[in-house]
Amino acid sequence: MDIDQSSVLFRIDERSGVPPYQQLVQQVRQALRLGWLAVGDQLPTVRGAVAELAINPNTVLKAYRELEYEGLVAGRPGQGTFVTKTLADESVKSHAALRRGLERWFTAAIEAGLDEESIVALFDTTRRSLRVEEAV
Amino acid sequence: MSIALETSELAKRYGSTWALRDCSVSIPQGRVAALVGPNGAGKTTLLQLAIGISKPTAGQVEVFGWSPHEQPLLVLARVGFVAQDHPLYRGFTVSEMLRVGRKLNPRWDQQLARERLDRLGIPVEQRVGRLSGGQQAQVALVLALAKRPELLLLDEPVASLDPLARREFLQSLMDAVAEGGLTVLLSSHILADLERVCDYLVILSASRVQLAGDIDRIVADHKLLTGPREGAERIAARHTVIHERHSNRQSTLLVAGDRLAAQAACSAEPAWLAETPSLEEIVLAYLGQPVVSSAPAQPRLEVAS
Amino acid sequence: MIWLTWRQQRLEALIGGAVLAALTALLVLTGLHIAGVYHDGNLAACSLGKSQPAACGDSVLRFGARFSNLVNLTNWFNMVPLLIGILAAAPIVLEFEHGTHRLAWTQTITRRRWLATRLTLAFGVAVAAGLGFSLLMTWWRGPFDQLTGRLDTNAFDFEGVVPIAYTVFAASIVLAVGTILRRTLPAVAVAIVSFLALRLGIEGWVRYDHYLSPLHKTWPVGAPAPTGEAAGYLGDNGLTFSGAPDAARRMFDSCGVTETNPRALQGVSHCLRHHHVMQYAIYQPSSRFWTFQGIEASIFLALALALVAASVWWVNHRLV
Repeated sequence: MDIDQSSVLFRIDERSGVPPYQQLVQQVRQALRLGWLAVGDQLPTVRGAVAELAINPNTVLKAYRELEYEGLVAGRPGQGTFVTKTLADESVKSHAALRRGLERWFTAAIEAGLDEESIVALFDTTRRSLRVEEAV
Repeated sequence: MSIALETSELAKRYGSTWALRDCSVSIPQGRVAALVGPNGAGKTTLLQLAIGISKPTAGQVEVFGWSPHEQPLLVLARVGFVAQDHPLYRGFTVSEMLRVGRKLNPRWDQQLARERLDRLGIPVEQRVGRLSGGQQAQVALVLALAKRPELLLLDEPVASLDPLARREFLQSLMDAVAEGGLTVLLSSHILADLERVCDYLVILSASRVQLAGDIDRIVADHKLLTGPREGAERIAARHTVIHERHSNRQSTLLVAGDRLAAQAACSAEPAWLAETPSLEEIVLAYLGQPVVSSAPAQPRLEVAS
Repeated sequence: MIWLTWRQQRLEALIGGAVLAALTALLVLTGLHIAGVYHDGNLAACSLGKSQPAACGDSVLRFGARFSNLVNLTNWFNMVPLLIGILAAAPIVLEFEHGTHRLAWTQTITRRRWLATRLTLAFGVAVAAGLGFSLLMTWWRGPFDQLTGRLDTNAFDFEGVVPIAYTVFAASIVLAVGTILRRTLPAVAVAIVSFLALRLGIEGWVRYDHYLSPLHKTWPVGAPAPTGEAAGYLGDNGLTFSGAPDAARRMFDSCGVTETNPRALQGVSHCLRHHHVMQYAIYQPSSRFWTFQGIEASIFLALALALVAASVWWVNHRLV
């Protein structure tokens, strides 16, 4: 059985509508949040990720550049890309407050008479329109 | 940024049928470009013109600045080609196939070929005809890569392969791209796998180029507008509509253009939502309504009736 | 490129080699036997052009009868140039059929060089095999040729330069049809049919009647045939009589002719001569062997050249 040397296992969902490089960025951020990646850990090599996923190497490079821009990782020439900052502490703090807010919203939606599918639909459309605005 | 493959009004006619017309594309070096279109759209013709086994009826094609027809050896030394169904000499062993490559190509890297085959677990003394379809495709790819090309042309390389073989083939291909110095143009009539593998897109339909460009830019330049049926004409009139769908109550328009304009249009009409379409949606939209006039490939303005 | 061409033709070369080896063994064994019999029977004295002792008529007939089955068997060897031609050209057509020419043409080699190498080796082998076959058959037929000349079909078809021309022609049909259709089996089928049709047609209607005008000779009945020119190929021959057909019948009755074979006529020759009956023969003399060889070879080689030129043009301008 192959054990991946790095700590995060990438996957690409073609159907999600999210560009591949962004999926990788999100997965690294998620790994940082959940504590799977710690400061100093090495991200998968470009060739390793490419061989594993059959994705364009530029996708990986682009994702790592974005993460580097956000200050989360740093590339060491000849060695690889390494984590420089973790998101674990922030997410723990902001989680609690957000979670409470979300619980309040859910309760309000159920009281308003929405069923589960309507709640999900409302959530999705709002999220999408927000994302478009964000991109502008 | 230099151009690996450039065509200018390239056209090819067989008898009275035009296989390719007014084809003008410019694929930058280092890209992995997808050539998509239905069967008979002209994909194979374009690839054959690029490698030089076919001659243009009109127009020009240049590979790294050289003409495949006038300077064939210069082009052939730098371009790898895997034809549809990856033809190989079935009676030869794999090592004999390598010998063919070694004898016919000055820039042949035997060690690279052996390493790749070993990594793939393909026995070199096995007859090619006895290998599985996926293994044969891998051998054809290794043959093309071992001559150290700068441009790799693949005609439907994964069309006849099962999903696992397809995945393994693309892994090998991407690994070669990661090594650096390689531009790839691969044709496909299957849309899956494209977005993860390719960063450049050429859409061919009805023998003409419908759209060409970096995938990131293409996705950014198209928007999917959804909204009520009544307002559809108004919205359509303000955009370049590629594709539209209507039901009694709802309309969906895939439009090309600046995302700011799309945003502006939607903020004026609160019932309308502007979303980013998937690459597949964009490709299908262009394939659904091919431009057949001789005007340069531009999306048509459509007003819903 | 040379290694590649040889390797691709390996199977066909082995098949052809096996067939030719078997043929050679058969011919060498039987040929040595025939030559032995010829030598033992002192038949050299009966060869054409020499003054023949009286016993020759019988001994030549006996010799011919002894080996007539074997000689008839050699009719099948007309297929040998066809077979060699097919084996020589089939690998090129198979390449087009399987599409592997697109593999070859995208290595660092020009289409012209590829084609030139393939054709040179294929037709080189065809010529060499045809030449070998001709030399072998010429040796084997030595005794028979000395007695009956080389112009008859049993000799002419297998000696000199025509076997080479036949082989090259057969290969060129396979090449031309196969290049255009890109299918081997139809190409071979067309080659077989057209080869046989052309060979039979030329041999039956053109060669002995039209290459050069046949010679006529007449001489009195019962006298031996004049030996001025050694008869090569005997065409129409018989008796001439000037007069109406019923007069001929009356004349034959009056001389007591019951059968018209040479023996019977010999007996009544005196009577027939009295009625001015002459023997005639229309024939082609043996001395025309090389002229005829040249004409026939030129026909087949010219056709082959046209077919090869058409194939080359098609490959260079139409094939993808």
